[in-house]
Amino acid sequence: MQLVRIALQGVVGFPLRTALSCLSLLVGVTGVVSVYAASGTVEATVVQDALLTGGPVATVDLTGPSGAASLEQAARARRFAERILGPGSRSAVTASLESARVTVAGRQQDADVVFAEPRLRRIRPFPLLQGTWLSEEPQLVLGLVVNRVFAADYAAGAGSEAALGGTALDADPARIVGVVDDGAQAPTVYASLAETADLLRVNGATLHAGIELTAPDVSASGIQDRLRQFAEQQDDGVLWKATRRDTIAQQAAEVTATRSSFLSVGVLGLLATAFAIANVGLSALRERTNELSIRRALGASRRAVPLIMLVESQIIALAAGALAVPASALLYLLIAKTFGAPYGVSPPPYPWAFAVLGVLVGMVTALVGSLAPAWRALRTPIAAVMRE
Amino acid sequence: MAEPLVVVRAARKSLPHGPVLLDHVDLDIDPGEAVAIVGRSGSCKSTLLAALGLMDTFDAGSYRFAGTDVARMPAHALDATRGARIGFVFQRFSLIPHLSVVENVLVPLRHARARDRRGGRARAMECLSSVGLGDAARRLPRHLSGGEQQRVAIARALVRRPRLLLADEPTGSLDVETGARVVDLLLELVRAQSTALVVVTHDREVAASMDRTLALRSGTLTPMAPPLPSAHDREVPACSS
Ligand SMILES: Nc1ncnc2c1ncn2[C@@H]1O[C@H](COP(=O)(O)OP(=O)(O)OP(=O)(O)O)[C@@H](O)[C@H]1O
Ligand SMILES: [Mg+2]
Repeated sequence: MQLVRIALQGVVGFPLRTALSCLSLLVGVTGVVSVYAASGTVEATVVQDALLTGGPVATVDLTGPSGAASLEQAARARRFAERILGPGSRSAVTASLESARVTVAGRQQDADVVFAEPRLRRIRPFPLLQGTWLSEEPQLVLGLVVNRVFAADYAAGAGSEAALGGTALDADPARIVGVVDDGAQAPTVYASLAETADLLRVNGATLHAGIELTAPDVSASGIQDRLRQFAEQQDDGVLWKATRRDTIAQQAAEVTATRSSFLSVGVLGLLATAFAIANVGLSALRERTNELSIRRALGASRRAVPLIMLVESQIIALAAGALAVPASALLYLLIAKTFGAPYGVSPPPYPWAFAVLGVLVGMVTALVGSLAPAWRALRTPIAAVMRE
Repeated sequence: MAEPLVVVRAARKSLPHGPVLLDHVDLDIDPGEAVAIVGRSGSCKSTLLAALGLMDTFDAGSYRFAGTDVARMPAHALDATRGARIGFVFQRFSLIPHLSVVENVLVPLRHARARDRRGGRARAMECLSSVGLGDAARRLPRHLSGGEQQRVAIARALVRRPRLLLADEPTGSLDVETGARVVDLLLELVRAQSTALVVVTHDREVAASMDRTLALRSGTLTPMAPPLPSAHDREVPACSS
């Protein structure tokens, strides 16, 4: 108890030292935590984008026939593929139409149009930003879903009036029913294959059908071979070309590498904090050594000397930690919100391990900084006080 | 008659592999007695004082303090005895700069056992008042004059009512007049609580105001001639030179 009192006198007696130590630790811990938060959020964002644009591991794109009949051929190939890949697989038929035109508020807009079965979203889990996704049921008015870029570029949103057409016919009146994040950088419109069957048939000349399918261990060449055999049996002569679509694994590996280099910078910062604290502690070395010698002359035992410094340094380190952890948590929330929220990404959880590590580093370095005077005081004879 | 407070016999002290600092030192100090030790700079006065104050040990000979053979005391007992029975006043005051005046006076009590700490603050204030610094309790040492700081050091030395007070050139950092007042105060206070006093000094007047004076020469203590009446007691007209 008396020891804590003496130690507290030291804490209060050197306000600048105490404040600087607290500040160093505060900066160090918040630094490493915020680097962690920012890089973690970026990682989550990149991984999310890769998942939305490329699908999960492994996703394969099948391209092949063109023309009005190609949709029917794609549907058959898809059913076959799904059968051989088993229940773990998911697939969707998609199509593009070179002549597709989208109009919003009476003006034709430049956009990619993807015709797809609504089940496409089971492969690529687009977060819904507004409204709903494409409906499996027939609707009175053709429903379109646009991506975030489209919504932003053309000031459109769920409920906006639109139209979709090709070259051959008048455009079908349509309504935008939802906005999704699909990770794409270009304005994109999604329309249901079933609901646009007439449009696609009439404009069949520029139609290209495709299949997107995913299964945990599908290989592009394997599925391509099986589909060729299937085509020979069926005698429909369609050759499907398979390419791997997912990029999530490579992206994640790259981001993880970048992230660890960022984190090592953060840890270096923490190390700099350690030196700062030790330095601040050592700057009073002579004065503290002298004080401890005086205490020894006035009756303090040998044991009391390191104990005083130990308790004192830990009071400072814990006070600094008590400031640093909530401060870094606040900053962390701010960063996670700023970087992550616009992408619909939930940030990684607050890195308690780093916070605890930071406080531990503070405790150890404060100890080192304050044990030096204790060590010196124990080595110098008490009588040295007389020659001071 | 009871044993003197300090009994040193044939004490010797040398540096490891070095010169002999003290040799054949014999010294008796009775309780309440005031002794001056004089000697040239470098004559090992501080070294002797450190050994008397249990901050250091003699290499040979014997030292009995308050009836106990110091050589047989374990380290923690030396620390405890030094804290409880011996007070120190140093030439350069040696106050702890970041502690207030009253906290400085309390330092010896902070390192004492709980039972000895009771009533410590009141005792510290009493000591401060007795050196005329009752009003300065909350100030920091650096805001006091040299004479005031040395009075704080005296209050600190007396706070645990020691049996022996050791002062190493207590006036060495003070001007003559302030020094004289500090020594008068010191004498008055030790006499009031019958504490023995050993003062190391270069100042003949300070030496003359003690009960007896010993000279440290070539590492040995020798009594000086019985003190002459000190200058201001002499019935001669003040010298104009
Ligand atoms: N621990 C030590 N290591 C080396 N030399 C020492 C040690 N202790 C004392 N000495 C030497 O012993 C001699 C006596 O020192 P001491 O301080 O006791 O003299 P002093 O009489 O108090 O001198 P002053 O009047 O200047 O204070 C000095 O030459 C000093 O250098
Ligand atoms: Mg000396």
